Amino acid sequence: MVGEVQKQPAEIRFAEELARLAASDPGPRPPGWRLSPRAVRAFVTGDEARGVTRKFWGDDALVDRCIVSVMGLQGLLLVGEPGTAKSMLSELLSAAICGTSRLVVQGSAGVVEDHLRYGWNYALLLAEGPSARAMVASPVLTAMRTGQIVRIEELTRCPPEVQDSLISILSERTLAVPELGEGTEVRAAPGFNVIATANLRDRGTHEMSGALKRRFNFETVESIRDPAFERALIARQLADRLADHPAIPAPAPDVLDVLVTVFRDLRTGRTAEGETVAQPSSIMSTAEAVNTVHAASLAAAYLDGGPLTARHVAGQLRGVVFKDDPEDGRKLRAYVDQVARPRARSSRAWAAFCDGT
Amino acid sequence: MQDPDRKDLGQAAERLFSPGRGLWVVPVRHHSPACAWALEALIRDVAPTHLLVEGPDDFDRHIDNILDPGTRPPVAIVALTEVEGATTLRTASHYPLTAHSPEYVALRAGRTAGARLRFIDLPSGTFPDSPTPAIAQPLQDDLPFTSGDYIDALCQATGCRDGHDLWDHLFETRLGTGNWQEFFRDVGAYCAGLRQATPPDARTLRREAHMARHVRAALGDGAAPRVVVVVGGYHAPALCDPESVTQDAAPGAPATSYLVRYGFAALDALGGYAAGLPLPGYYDRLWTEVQATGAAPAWGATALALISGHAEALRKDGHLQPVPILVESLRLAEGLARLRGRPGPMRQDLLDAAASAMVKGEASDRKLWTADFARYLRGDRLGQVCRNAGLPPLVADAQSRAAALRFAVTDSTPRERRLEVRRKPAHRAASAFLHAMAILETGFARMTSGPDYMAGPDPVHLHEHWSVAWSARVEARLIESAALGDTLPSACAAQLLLDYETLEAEARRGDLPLRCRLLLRGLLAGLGGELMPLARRLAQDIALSRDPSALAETLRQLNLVAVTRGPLRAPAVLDIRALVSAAFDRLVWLIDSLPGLPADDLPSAIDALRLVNAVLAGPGGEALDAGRFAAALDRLAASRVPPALLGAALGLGALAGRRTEAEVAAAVAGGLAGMDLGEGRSALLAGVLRAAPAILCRNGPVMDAVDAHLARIDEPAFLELLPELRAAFSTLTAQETARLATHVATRHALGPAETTLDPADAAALRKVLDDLVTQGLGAWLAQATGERA
Repeated sequence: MVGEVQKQPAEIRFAEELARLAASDPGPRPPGWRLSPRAVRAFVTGDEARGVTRKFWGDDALVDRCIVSVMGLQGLLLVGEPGTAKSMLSELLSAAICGTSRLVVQGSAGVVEDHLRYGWNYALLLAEGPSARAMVASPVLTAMRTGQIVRIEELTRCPPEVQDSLISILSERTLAVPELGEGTEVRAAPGFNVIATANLRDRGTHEMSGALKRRFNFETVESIRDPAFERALIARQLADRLADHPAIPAPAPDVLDVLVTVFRDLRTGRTAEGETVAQPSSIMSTAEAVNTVHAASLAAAYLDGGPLTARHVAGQLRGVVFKDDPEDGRKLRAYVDQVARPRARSSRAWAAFCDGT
Repeated sequence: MQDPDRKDLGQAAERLFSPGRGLWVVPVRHHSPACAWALEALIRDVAPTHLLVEGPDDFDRHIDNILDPGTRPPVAIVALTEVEGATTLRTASHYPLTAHSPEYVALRAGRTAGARLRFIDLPSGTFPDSPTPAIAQPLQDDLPFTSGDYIDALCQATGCRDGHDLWDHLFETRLGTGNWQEFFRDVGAYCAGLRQATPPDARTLRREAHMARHVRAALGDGAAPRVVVVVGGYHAPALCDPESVTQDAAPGAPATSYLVRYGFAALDALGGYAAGLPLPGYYDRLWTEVQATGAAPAWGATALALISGHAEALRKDGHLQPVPILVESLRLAEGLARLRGRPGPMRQDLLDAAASAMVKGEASDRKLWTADFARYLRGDRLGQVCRNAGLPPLVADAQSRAAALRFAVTDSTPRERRLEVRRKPAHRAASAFLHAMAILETGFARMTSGPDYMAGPDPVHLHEHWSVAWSARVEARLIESAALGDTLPSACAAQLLLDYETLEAEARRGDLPLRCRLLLRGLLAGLGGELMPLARRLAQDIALSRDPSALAETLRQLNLVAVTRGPLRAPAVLDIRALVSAAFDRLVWLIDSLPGLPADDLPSAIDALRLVNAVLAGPGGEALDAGRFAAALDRLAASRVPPALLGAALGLGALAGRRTEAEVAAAVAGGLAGMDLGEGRSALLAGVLRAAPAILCRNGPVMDAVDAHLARIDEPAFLELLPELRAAFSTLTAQETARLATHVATRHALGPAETTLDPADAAALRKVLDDLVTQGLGAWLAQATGERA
């Protein structure tokens, strides 16, 4: 099965590491958890001694707090700018804690209460009347029954009324199913919890009600602060993506430098020398950087038939990153004129970058 | 960097205690309760004859005062050293001591054991100057404990956040448990690793040589000396073998030093990482607990007490935290502690937990959210010093002046004072004192109502009302300012000069009036000759200024000072008149460069000209050469200028009598009738109105010109001109508009009731009414409006 799908869930990709951690894990486990909290932390942040790779680059203290949050009765809500690996962290945590990251509700404007509670197989419903066979459990209900973690992606894109149906699930830990008989309810097994992600400042999102906010612990996932970290991460992600194209060589370090510097300057609004830079309205996240260099590598290899240079990166920048605001193009132009051109005088990679814009 | 070898570290730890030789070298970290606890036990067991503490050795004379029963920590020894080359600025260095500082605990325990107590570091005069004079720096160095590859690597291995978290994790968790031998052996190994990873610099070696000399002296003193040496952990490996550390160095000069009361807030602010563990209130609480029970603190109960104590403090302020959040906060803290392998929640766990539980949104900076909790943990305690300890001269000076002016300094009840500054010299002196205390930001006094000296003569507010209260914080602030000077006036002058330099460093546009304001504040504080350096800097800046509006405002302020006989009066030595002339000269010079000004700056330039004119016309204006100003305006009018500026120049010239009003009228009429689109046509009129509104209100040729033009044009042209005219007339004040309306009404023989309209509107309305009449609707109009038609 491996290799026939575009992306495997984390518990299958890293099945070996999880098995190794479970075998050598003496720590006490909270009810319903497959690994102890220390083992979960080792899975996410890496442990050389046990041969576990690091999967999340960022603030290790954040991972600590997330693990402890999920141990309790509050839900965990990961917020932050797009492209900061919130969904990836949520996937890793649920894979490690309960062995599955596949109980997911994708939030969108079309989500209705049935997606969070239960729906019906209408043919069976009409034929046999309400029965357990006719009921279609939502991932939330499944997680409650089996004591696992349910992931809700983009919670704030759901309409507010639908979001609020989570309130009583999170405080009462029970879901009433009156259609199956008086007093029928499903009580959550130990180990049930919710990990949600949200972009609080994007367009098309709804405000969360105060009651719902109170039932979540908020953790902000921030962009990577260390440029060397970011560079290493981009290189690794690119290598993963280009695994299907073995003929394409790894990018030269100076090209990656240019890429990382451009993204950091535009993201933070300030160059390393302290000059201010106009920030584009599109978020210049690490994920976008990986997309850019991926597209550039493919373009360089298949369209130009040569090695990846900063010129290809520049060429992809506009299409991949800047979404709809025409101002962003002007800001990039200003950046190239004021910051990149002076650098181009002493660096070939920067000169290539300026050529490509 | 050489990787520390495990065996070396172990050996270094073993060498700390040599009972055979009678030498115990104890490595500590400043303000660490765990070290203090173990040290107390050590001194009890060892019963030393000599107790040597790391600290400048000229502080020995303070030891009795430190141990005096009237002294309660937190206290500090403040050393004031002269900065080379500066006559007034000095560096203040602080050596704080809290109840849980190992040094303080050692001195007390040593005194009880009957040991000879000595400080052994280089004298305070040799410590390096602070990079920013008048901002205190710590005399205890802590840098190796918080930065460097060694610390980073250990943090990664243990999952700790930073050097402070690491220390808490490894050592503070052992507070109240175990025996001191094991504890200090482990601290010793840790510090030996520190030292190996960061080799000492020249200055550190000099200090250690000096300390070693003291240790040798103690070892040779008496029959069977038992010497306990308490030093920062970094230096401990060097002193284990005092004979081997020799270096000839000049002993160095002592500085003047004082034992003063200190506060947790000041301690925490003393440089953050550079001065020991942060949030002293937290560690103080742990120390109190361990002293009370004689055993390790109950970490869980402590966490609960801190979280609920903070909630209580918030409740008093009117912020209610719901109980589930507090419960979650405690649960998170305990969970984090368990996950990180600690016996209970430590400082970092508490802060993390509070942020996670309280923040309900995106937090781009968690520190902002936990700032309140951190402040609560930091605490607000102020210590006390026994009577025998002297005070820094500035504090003594301030107190004696306050007493002479009959301000209470013995308690902190707020009192009101009403000062008649213009009539009574004694009140004038009191006001100067209060203004001076305000310059140093002591918080001693607050003006609740009074004249705004910067705005000008104020006939309404003649008296100043102040709310005055002495407090320990006032004293603490004076102590912090002790580096600025020994007397209140010299300290204020130094502070103003520093503020001036800050403004210079920020270099914002148009900040000349702000700099001038510093001079005025100094005058209000009764400073005289001390302001000479400030006045000189101001003169230089005036001569170089290129901003007409800033210069005009400065001119106004300085002129105020030059003519006033009230509190702002300046002594002759400052020669304010010369400053006024300098500002005037520079402005006149700048007038010639006005044509090149960008369009956005024109209104403020015209306002500047108006201001200068007002100054010339007002008191003190006779000392300035109005002729040069007028000549400059003439030159301006003759050159190619934007119409607004031309109008201003012409209008001011007419007011001064150098031009006839007819000239101005002709220019205005020409502008109005011109072909310019946009604001061009009425720009000239706008300039006249902005700079010299009196012209229009004088009912002379200019008013004729405007009136004639408005009467001549037809309605569509009028409506086109209306927005510009509206903008132009909006620069008039209400009084000027009323006067103008009266003139227009008289001119057109309208009754008083009609003069409430804008004059341009009135003319338009008149036209419309006339039209109605000619169209034969007069009868209807007469019916509709009664007798008016």
